[in-house]
Amino acid sequence: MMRSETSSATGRTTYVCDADSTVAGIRELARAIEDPALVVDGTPFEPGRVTLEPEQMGQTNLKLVMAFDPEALASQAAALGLSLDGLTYQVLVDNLVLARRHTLIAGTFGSLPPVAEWELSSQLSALQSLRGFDVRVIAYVDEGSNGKGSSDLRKGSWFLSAKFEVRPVAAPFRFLPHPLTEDVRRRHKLPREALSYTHVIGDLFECEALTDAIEVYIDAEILELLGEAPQSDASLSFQVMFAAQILAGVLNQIAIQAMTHGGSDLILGADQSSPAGRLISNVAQANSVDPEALLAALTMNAASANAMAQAYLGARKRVSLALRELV
Amino acid sequence: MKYPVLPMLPAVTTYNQYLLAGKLHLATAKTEIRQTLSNEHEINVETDLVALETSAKATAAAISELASPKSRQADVLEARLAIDVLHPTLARFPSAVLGDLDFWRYVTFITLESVVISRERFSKGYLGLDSGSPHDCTALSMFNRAELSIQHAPRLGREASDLYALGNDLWRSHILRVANRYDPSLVQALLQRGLDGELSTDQIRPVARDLRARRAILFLGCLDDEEALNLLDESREYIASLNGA
Repeated sequence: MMRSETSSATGRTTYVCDADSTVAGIRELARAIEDPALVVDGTPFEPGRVTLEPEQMGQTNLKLVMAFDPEALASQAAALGLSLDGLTYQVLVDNLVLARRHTLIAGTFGSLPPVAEWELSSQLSALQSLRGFDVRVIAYVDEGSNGKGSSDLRKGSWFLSAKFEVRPVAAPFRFLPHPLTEDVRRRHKLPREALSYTHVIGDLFECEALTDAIEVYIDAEILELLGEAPQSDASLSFQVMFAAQILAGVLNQIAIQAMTHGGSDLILGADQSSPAGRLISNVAQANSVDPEALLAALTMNAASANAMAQAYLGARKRVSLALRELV
Repeated sequence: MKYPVLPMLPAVTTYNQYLLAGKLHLATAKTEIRQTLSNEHEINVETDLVALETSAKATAAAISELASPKSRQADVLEARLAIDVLHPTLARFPSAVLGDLDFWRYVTFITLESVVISRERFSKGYLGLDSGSPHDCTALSMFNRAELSIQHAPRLGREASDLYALGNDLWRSHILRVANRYDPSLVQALLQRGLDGELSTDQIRPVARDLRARRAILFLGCLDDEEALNLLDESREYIASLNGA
């Protein structure tokens, strides 16, 4: 059986199969290619999350660099009955809002220099989006196997898939806040001066979306004031701190529920299909730690959740901007 | 270019008022004006959106006459609005505007208020308030569905509205919300089998899961139309074999 492995730290996915020599050969193809790098205004990023200030979106100098060993790749391709011209690469940009994918660059490894650099900025200007975009590099077999055949090796079998998730500093609220009214305070036995409250109403591993299983409340008056000038530095600063507190509460609940779901191995299984698993994976990736390490940290020290959530949401930058306004 | 937006928090305030009072007044939401970085687009946004709103009200009035706001007839009326008016109008807007979810929330709350109410689309997702499922936002969903319907209608030899009016489940769960939306040949294959009546809700869910698993090892974007249809049929047969059919 073939399977894919995605590194939680880098976002890079590789193709793995130990049981079949042909597909194991595909794994060797991947080893002949170095991780692509996305260079943003001169700073290289590995595959994974690339966070930009909102004003940088669409105005950033982007360059993609990919290096490979032609001899090693040709040798591994030949072992599979393929040539370098039968191995194709594409650089794609996915619009996160519209149903549009743009192929920026495409070719075969037979005509690719060992180190390729592509300027993406001019082509990305038409794709500027406040929400962000994904740049994906994919390398795949563009012809059926004609050699040491394996029925598994078919057109489209990929051996490198690296994704750069280019995003503005996170939009604060993932969860829709409801007004924390007197009625809600009474129902949940909350003190009169309570400012916010996160109520988990379901199983975070079984729900279709986390928003189905979590109710978030913010004091009704405060919520209305936050909405008066939602894009102001002050409002954004408070929003992000509220959001971090809420997210920390959710992360702690995930850690608690994880124990009843068989621990991290089960949760962070191959497809990370549960909403809780995906959130853990995203927060871990953004903070450059393994999902397993994140879950362990949350279990051992609940207070670390707030730090992880603040870093994930870019709270430091937001608060800094707001305070500088006051100086 | 200046364009109107409705950020999440003022929209939330309006939605919360609805939850407390039980009556939805979308158009009272506090909107803002935002500006794109470039000014080369000569589009009269206000005039375009007012014209779209007028068409939306006519559609909403027709839907209100129907026995059910969720019937196929209602789907067809919505399809005509999306394909004939909404998509041609908004497709001319710059990509920076079309990539701004706050703009789509504005169109949903303000421009399409009559349609949202007539179709009883009061859930958070339909109103663009669920950041986990942004593609459910009514205006954005109508735009994307119209765009793909228009794109694939000629090759499938059908009216775009026939494709648009295929089941909500097919569109939302298996095209718009997932990576399949980026692969034109696979979208076309799904629509083809949807038209053939071979993708009921019961059938397509396991097929969709199987396609997702195949995507983990195959780049589906490189398949041509015939290959994508073959892959979909292979997946359907595999699922049928599991079910002992």
